[in-house]
Amino acid sequence: MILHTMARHSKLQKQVLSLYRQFLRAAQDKPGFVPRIRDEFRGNAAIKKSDVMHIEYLYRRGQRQLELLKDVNTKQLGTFSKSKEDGS
Amino acid sequence: MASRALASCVRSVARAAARLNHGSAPLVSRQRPLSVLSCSQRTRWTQPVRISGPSVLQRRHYGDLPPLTLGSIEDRVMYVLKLYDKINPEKLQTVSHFMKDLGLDSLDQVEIIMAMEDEFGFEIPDAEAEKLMTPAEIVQFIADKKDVHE
Repeated sequence: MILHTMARHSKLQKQVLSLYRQFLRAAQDKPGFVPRIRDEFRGNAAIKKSDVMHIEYLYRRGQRQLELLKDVNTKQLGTFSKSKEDGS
Repeated sequence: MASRALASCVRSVARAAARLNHGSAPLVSRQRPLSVLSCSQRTRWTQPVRISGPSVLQRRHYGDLPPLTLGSIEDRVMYVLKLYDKINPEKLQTVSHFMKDLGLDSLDQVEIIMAMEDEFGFEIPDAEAEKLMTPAEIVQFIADKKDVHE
């Protein structure tokens, strides 16, 4: 759905881009969020433009998550990763 | 009354300028005087006060950033773009298009515009931001917003 050409953005594209901007602004002071946001948006960029239902679903989900992120009680984001160890 | 207050301001400025010009030739002889205030006979001071133009103007103490020029805006824009990890610094030119020449997409363009907003300290609305596709356009937009002429 992301744009590689000079064609004008559709309304939905503009909404997605403005959501991306709001996410990045809200995450500026809280460590750990920005890589996650970028990965999420970039991973979902491969969705076809015609798949409007999926895009709108992700958009609404993103709006809810943005509210959580803007909440004062959200401080930082971390992940666990499983280390590969031989044996038990 | 007003002329007396004005003359006292001018005298303190000239005194400050004279203080800053220490070591060099006296104020009056070196620079071309911009104006000569001769006080009226009702005031206490009998000497005319000379203001020297260039040195006084250079030493104004406003609480503001140095004025922007087209060259400085372009330098800062290119510097910020070179720091962006998705752009190859060798291929970057003032006229290189973000999407066609540098292979970026619209998400990257949003990030670039946000970096410009942080660098120059003012908000760029979405409607105008999505049209800025080359560094030259960004420089032109900022120059328009900040009233920079050259």
